[in-house]
Amino acid sequence: MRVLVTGAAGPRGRQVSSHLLALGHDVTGVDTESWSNAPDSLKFQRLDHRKRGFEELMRHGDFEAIVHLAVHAGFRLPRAERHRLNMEGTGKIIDLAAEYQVRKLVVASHASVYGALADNPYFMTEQAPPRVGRGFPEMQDLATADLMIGAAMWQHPEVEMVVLRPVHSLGPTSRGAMATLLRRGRFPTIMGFDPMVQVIHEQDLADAMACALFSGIRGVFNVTGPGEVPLSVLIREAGCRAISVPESLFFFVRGRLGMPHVPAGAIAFIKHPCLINGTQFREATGWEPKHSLSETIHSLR
Amino acid sequence: MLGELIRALRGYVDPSIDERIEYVGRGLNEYGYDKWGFSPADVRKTIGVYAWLYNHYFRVKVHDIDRVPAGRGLLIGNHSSQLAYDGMMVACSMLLEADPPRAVRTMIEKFFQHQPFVNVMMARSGQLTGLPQNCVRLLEDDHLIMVFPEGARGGGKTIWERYQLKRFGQGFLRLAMQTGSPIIPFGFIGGEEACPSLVDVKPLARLMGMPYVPITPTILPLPLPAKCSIYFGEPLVFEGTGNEEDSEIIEKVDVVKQSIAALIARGRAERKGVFI
Repeated sequence: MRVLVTGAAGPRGRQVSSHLLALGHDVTGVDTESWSNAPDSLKFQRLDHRKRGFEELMRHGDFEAIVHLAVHAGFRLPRAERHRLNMEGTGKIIDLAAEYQVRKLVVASHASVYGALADNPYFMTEQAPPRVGRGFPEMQDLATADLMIGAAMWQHPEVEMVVLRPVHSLGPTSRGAMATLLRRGRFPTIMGFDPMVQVIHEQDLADAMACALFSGIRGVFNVTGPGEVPLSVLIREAGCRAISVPESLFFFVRGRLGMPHVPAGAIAFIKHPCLINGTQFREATGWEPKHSLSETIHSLR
Repeated sequence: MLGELIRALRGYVDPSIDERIEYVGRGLNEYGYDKWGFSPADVRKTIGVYAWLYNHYFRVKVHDIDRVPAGRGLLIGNHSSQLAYDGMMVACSMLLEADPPRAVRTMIEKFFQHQPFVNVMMARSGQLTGLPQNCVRLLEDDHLIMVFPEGARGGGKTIWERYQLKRFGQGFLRLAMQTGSPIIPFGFIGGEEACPSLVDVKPLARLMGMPYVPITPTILPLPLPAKCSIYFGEPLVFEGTGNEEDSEIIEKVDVVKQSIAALIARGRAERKGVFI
């Protein structure tokens, strides 16, 4: 299958591109950043999927499928740029996929779109409303991009669209918010709170994305890994130290004393559970994670 | 009696209780937690004190505990005692006296989820926010759930209203029907006297964002050593989808309420003394 991967030079893009190549597919990767030691069999182009050059690539590439990973869930980019990338970038991909008769579009969203709220039910299904914007407005663009695909499913039924909402991915290359915080060695926690968290190995996630690509499913799917652990156990097992701070002091210490500067809304994610139910995806595709809970957590080291 | 409390506070757990905790802790992940955050190791840390309260302080007598069937089910009873000492004692009875032992999951107020330390303690002992979705998922996993349909109306009632059943919610019954779970009614005697509230300071409760603020003889809602007893009733099974009209549900809720009222009446009639 001729597959186009956007955001191919990012950690997840590299993981997914390599996985698809290993499965014997014809993979083209694009990214605004370079990938110096990209595999030889990968057709890599350094370009922005929102710019003209990308349309030219779409016109001649005759792609059967797109894996859209150029969606940003973290805070490395400035807010306006992040917003443009998530909203306009996703809109552009939808338009081009429909225009050039791409059969399949897989988009990586994140389980955090549900938000971490005190009144969250445990193990939310895909029908739960994405409420992240209530306490964490910076994340609303990701939730909106996710819902844009949902709307496009009706507008372009000829394109088989899949939105995946995976839990925190961990692994040697993963750069998600959770992995990044755990790698710092000191993890800020709120005193007296210890929510359950869900994790997935980065290779399992790449495999789940490949499964979404080839299984003929369409729709929105949660993707869960081998299980759930209390945040404190995750921190301890990842070889990290929990720095427990009373909530009232948290705003004074973030960004100081070696603590990372986390956005105010992110604090909910270390206080309250945001647990999802991944059975729909597993039943539809037959996919199962191959790494156990401890293998997943220890893969960070 | 005091010696046993000191031993319990030092972390001593009776081997027979240990066996029971081990039994309810089957099927956990490699770190000793279930997916809801329940941790038998954490339960073990405090069970000594609860067992002491159960056996020596409240001297709980249980009747017909064998009526609680295996598999999914809803324990539905009268609420009292301000700080849910009744819930704790019913959960203790299922862990310490049921055969085989069961870990009861209680549906608690959302209020607790916001409280530091308390929320973690609740989750580790298997108590979860009382959301219908949580309840359905637990029942589908064949858990035994305890619900007080009176909610805060029951927990916060004053001594002048003792053993009067307040308005019951309908949610528990719809959930039981939806998941095909039996309802096991129970009557709890002694909770009203263990922690009597003379007055509920409603304006203060509103100010503090709490469901109620009781003033008790001990000022704080610490319990008095009232003798407690639990009466389990025959399981009630209601056929249906859970989407029935309110009027139909209310009738069935009333059946449950009546059976609890009967268990309370029996318990009060059989009670010899309140404290001794």
